[in-house]
Parts: sequence; structure tokens; C-alpha cells
Amino acid sequence: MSINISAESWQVLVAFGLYLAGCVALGYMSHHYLQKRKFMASYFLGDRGLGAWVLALTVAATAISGGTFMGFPSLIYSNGWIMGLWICSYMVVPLTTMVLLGKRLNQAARLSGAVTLPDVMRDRFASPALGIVSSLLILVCLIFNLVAQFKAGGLVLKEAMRLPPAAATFVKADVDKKGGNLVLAFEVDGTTDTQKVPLPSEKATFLKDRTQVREEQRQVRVVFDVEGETVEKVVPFPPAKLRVPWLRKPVETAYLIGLAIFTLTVVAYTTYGGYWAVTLTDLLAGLVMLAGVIVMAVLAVRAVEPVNGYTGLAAATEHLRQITPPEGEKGDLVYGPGPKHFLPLGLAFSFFLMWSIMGAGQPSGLVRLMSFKDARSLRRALMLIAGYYIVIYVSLLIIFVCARAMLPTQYLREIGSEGEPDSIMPVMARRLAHPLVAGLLLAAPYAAIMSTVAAFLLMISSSLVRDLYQRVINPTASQKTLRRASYAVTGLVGLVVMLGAINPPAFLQYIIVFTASGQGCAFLAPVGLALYWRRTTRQGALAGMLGGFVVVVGLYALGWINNHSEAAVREYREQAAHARQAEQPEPEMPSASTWLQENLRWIPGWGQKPDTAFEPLHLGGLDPLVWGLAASLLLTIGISLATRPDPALLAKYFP
Amino acid sequence: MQERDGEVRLLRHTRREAVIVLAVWMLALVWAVGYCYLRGYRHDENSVVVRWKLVEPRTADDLKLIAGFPDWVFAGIVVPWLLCTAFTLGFCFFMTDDDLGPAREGTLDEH
Repeated sequence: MSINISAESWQVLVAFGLYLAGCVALGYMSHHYLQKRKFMASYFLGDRGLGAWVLALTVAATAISGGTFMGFPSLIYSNGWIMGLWICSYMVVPLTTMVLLGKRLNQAARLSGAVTLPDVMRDRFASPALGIVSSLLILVCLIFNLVAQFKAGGLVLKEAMRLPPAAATFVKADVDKKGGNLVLAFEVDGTTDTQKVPLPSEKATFLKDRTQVREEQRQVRVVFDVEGETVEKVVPFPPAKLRVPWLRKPVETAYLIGLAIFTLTVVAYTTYGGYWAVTLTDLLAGLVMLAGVIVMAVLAVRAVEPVNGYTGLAAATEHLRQITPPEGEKGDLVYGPGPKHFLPLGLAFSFFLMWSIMGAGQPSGLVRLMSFKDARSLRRALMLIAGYYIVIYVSLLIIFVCARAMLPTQYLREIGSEGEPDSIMPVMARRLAHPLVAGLLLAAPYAAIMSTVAAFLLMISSSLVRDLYQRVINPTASQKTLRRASYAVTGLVGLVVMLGAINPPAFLQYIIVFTASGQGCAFLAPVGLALYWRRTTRQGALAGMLGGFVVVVGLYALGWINNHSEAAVREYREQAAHARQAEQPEPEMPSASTWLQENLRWIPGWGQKPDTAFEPLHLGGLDPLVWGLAASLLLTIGISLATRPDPALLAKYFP
Repeated sequence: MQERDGEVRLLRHTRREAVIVLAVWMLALVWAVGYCYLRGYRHDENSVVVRWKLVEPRTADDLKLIAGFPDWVFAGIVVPWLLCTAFTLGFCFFMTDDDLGPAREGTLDEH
């Protein structure tokens, strides 16, 4: 197999390569530092020695993930300025995630010698059950989340490489049944593959006989008639694909190579260097992300075409004011609730809670609060991170508002578009800057994904090795055994997740939000109350932990059931109406779905048409996290009041 | 005994700081979500907020810009964000440098 990469893509890859080399070098340095320290505290907690800069940027880089640089830009591009309200609770995130629990959690971890969050809970209540439940919750949530992050890493590298399409033979092109897309069929190595491209407009007519195949460039030129005007589109041949033995469908070669490189680098430096490698690469990632968004914001504002006497950001907003989004009305991109009623009041409130309060309950963030050196480091880190968040998020808002102004319809999932909204970040990076700078800009989302993955890998590894193996199975394990087990488990988890990411499930963004909500609802109230309220008991903490998690899972499951039954009933009604009109026999009624839709109407939010099949049930218009958090808080308080705390533990933690 | 005094002080300080953070969080929530809902959302003429004269319905044509931002984004998001950032910086000077105590690395690590 030969791989042809364009000169431009090589320059992007050089910038990328430099970043990756930096990460590997930091992993190597950390490994040598590790040799001189106590293994467990150093490998999983950095010797409780994080200074202000490392703490600030590791907290930021762990919170900022692939979603921040891939999903969030696509949402700004699709929904406009309302995304400012969606993300704005980051204004208080430094306070809620670092001050609310920071010093007290760090002190509690020092008091008991805890290395992980389950360690803290186990020791605070002298309850191995609480430690095991915490570990299992972290394991389940993080493994699902990691698959999504690995996929994002593979996709960024695929975009950086931009491999040429496969050698193929064009067969035919036809408009699909729904009339929104043109489907081109090709023959590749004896099998049929297709490329789908949206029609240029609803009124477009495909001119089949003017189709032109350009074998050398591996593309097909298709022509449309749009109300008397000729419009042409160039469609590349299908991407090169490889067969994976255990999968039915072949997988894109560029994605597979990207995924392999991503796994190798991130797993290598995390396994080899442990917590120090992760936090030091977070520092590098944090700086790359900061430089990337500042450069891109300046370039984006300068690139917007002036309109009605406005220039720069004002011109971009003016462009958005004039746009009428698909299925919307003029002004939807500059006012709430946004296109297709994107952010009603209940969800605006929920998302404010999501980032500011859920962020405070994420185990990956909490473990960082256990590792700072002293209170002075926390104070200084707080200063740095406050400035960091406002620059990153306001810059991202500005960049992708400008993107919508520059490319008003090209990257929507609608008729007339050129590509998916999710590709808007790499598209803008390549459009705005020289390939070498574009490489740096593309390294920003990659750095964000890598830092989150590294943190999660270490969390999973610590849950398995420290919380389950050392504390439950083999408390007398030697340093050597623990060292080997930690290396092996970190590497193995990375490998398993990579295999899962080769054919990842759909709705990944929902899985990320679901796992983050689940963890936040499980840990925030029990951990917060365990640290500040002396009446908290182990029964209360356990009930709050499980209750919060179960409520979130339950609302997602109910949403899933509602979405499927609602779609089945809707489809049946459409088909039945069609059959009656054509005087044909009606199709069979989906009895289970109809029963569910009719008998569960008393649930607030039931029966609403969802955007995607994995959407949760928004009970009373609120996100599941609001209900999960409320349940966790009430259960922790209620059950604690009904039981008695251990006096010896109170004397230890509440002098 | 001295060590325990430090622990008592830290608990007192962290509780006080947590209460202040929750108060700021609540203020930010009310300001950002409340203001943006009233000034940045388009309301139906028959909606409660319009009937109670809390807001006037807005159209795409009456949008005002401040520094390139829609007016409601500037007043409802940019201004409180800047104030929160300034508060956070000021709060860093208010926070106490409490002693976190020695790290009692568990006996589990000594094998």
C-alpha cells in the first residue's frame, strides 16, 4: 500500500510531528523522574507537588476536550450567538471547580494518604464498598467516554493527512428517494462504494448526461440546473478503505492510520511517564491551544468581508443577522433560542449548571485538586485559569461566528452544503493560515483530545491497580508488582479502547455528555457533603452516589424508549395516511410503541419529537443532570440524617 | 495540637470561601440566564414576559451592536464574564494560604 500525501499536507504534518515529539520527550523525562520517587503517589498523583502553572493548565487541558474544538465550533457555526449563553457558565468555572472543593479535598487526601478519588471516599467513611462502587462508576463512564475521544483523535489526524481518494471506476449517479442528495456509485476492488453529496438547492435538477469523470484527479464533475442557471459540483472518488478482519464494513485508511498514530503517542507517553508526563504535556497542550485560538481569532476577524459599513466582528454579526437558516427565520442566528428552538430557557439553565457545577464533580478534575503543592499554588493557578478560559471561549465564539459569515451555507447538514458542520474547525484552520500555521492550529484540538485521553487513561488505570487490585485483591503487593501492573494496565486499556474506536457507536457527543452528567451527579453531592458536613454518613454517600447516577441513566433510557416509540408511531401514521390515499391496505400498527406513547403521556416531556435517537428525556424541559443532582443531594442528606456517623472518623476529619 | 488548630482554621476558611463562591455562582446564573432570556430571546407578543411589560418583542432589524457583539451578548455575557474574571483575580488575594498538612502517604506505598 503506498500513501500519497500532498505537499501542503506534509507541512501540516510537520507542525503536528513537532508537537507529538514534544509530548514523547516530556513522557521520557517524566519516566526518569519517576525512577527516583515512590511509585504509586508519583505515578498516579505527581507526588502532590503540582505548582501554579502546571496545575492551572492541567485543570484547563483536562476540562477542554475534543468536543471543545470539534463539536462546540460546529454548534456555534450552526446556531450562532446563542452559543454564548450555552457556554457562558465558564465565567464561574474557575471558582466552582477549584475553590469550592480544592483546599479541603487536598487536605482530606493528605490526611489519609489517598491517591485516587475512590481512596478519599473509602477512607473518609472507612468503607471498602464505597471505594469499590466509586471505582466501578468511574471505570464504566470513562471507558465509554474514551472511545469517543479516540475517534475524535483519529478524525483530526485524518484531516491533517488528507489522503487522496481510492482508485475507482465511476458507475452511475442518481438523486436519492428523498430528493435531497445525489448518490454516486463507484466500483472499488470489485465492490460497490458510494459518495453522497447534497443538491445545491431544493429546485435543482440533476443533468445526468453532463456528468464528467476525471480519472487522473480521481473526481467526478456533476452539473445541475437551478432555475435556468447551471451549477456544478466536484465530487471526489470514495476514500481509500481497508478491511478489518472482525468487521463487516471496511474502514477508511486515513482514519485507521490516524487512530494508530494517536493511540501510539498518547498511550506511550501516559504509560511510560505517568501523572507527571500527563500534566507536563497538559502544560504544552494548554499553551498550544491558547496560541492556536488567539492566532485564529485575529485571522478570522480580518477575513470577514465588510458589509453595510461594518468591518471585522461587527460585519460577521451583521452577516448573521441577514441569514435565514434552514427551517428558521431571519435573525435566528443573532437571537435566542436559536435555529430550531435550540436553547429554550430550561436548557439554558441546565447548561449553566452543566459546565459550572458538573465540572466541579468530575473525578478527573477532582484528582488534580488532590495533587497541588500548597494553597499558594492553588491561588496562583486560579488567577491563570480565570484569564485562560475567557480568552479560549470568547475567541472560539468569535472565530466560528466569523466562519458562518464567511461560509453561510457550505457546512450544514442541509441541501446546498459542501460538508458536515463537524469539519468546520479544520476547514477554517486550512482556509485562514499558511499550512505550517494551520498545522499548529490543528494541533490545538489534537492537544485537547490527547490531554483528556491521557488523564482518563490514568484514572482508569488507577481505579484498576490502586483501588481494586492493591486495596481489595492484594494489599501486600510490592512496588515492583504495582509498577508492572500499572504499565501493563495503562497500555492494555489504551489498546482495548483503540479497538473499540475502529468501529465506534453513533451518537458519540451524547455519550460524552451522558458520561459527564453521570459522573457529576454521582460524585459532586456525596464528595462535597463528605468534606463539609460532619453529619454525612457512608450510607448517605452511597445512596447519593448511586441515586444520582441511576436517575441520569433512567432519564436517558426513558428518552431512548420515547424516541424509538415516537418515531415508530409517526412513521406508521404517515404510511397509513399514504395507504388510505392510495386506497391500499393499511400497514400493521406498532402495538407496543402505540401503547407506550398513549399510556406514558403523563410524564412531562414524553411524546416530544427528538433531534436524534439517543436524546434523553427532558423532564419538565430540564436536562437529566438537574434531576440527577437533585436526587443525589436529597438522598445523601436524607439517608445521612436517618443514620449515624462514626465518631472516630468525625474526630479525624472534623477536629 | 498545633497541627489540629491548622486543620480547624482550614475547615473554617474553606467553608467561608465555598459560601462566597456559591453566592457568586448564583448571581452569575441570574444575571446571564435572566438577562439573556429577557433581552436576547424573541418572545411572542402574547407571552407572559411581554404582557407583563418586562420586555418588548425583538426583530432581526432592531439588533444593536456593541464592539461587534449583539447588545444582549455584550451586556448579558461579556460584561458579567469580565466582572467574574476580575472577581476571581481579586478573590485570589482574599483566599488564605492555609497549611494543607503533611502528606501521610499510606503504608500501602511502602512495600
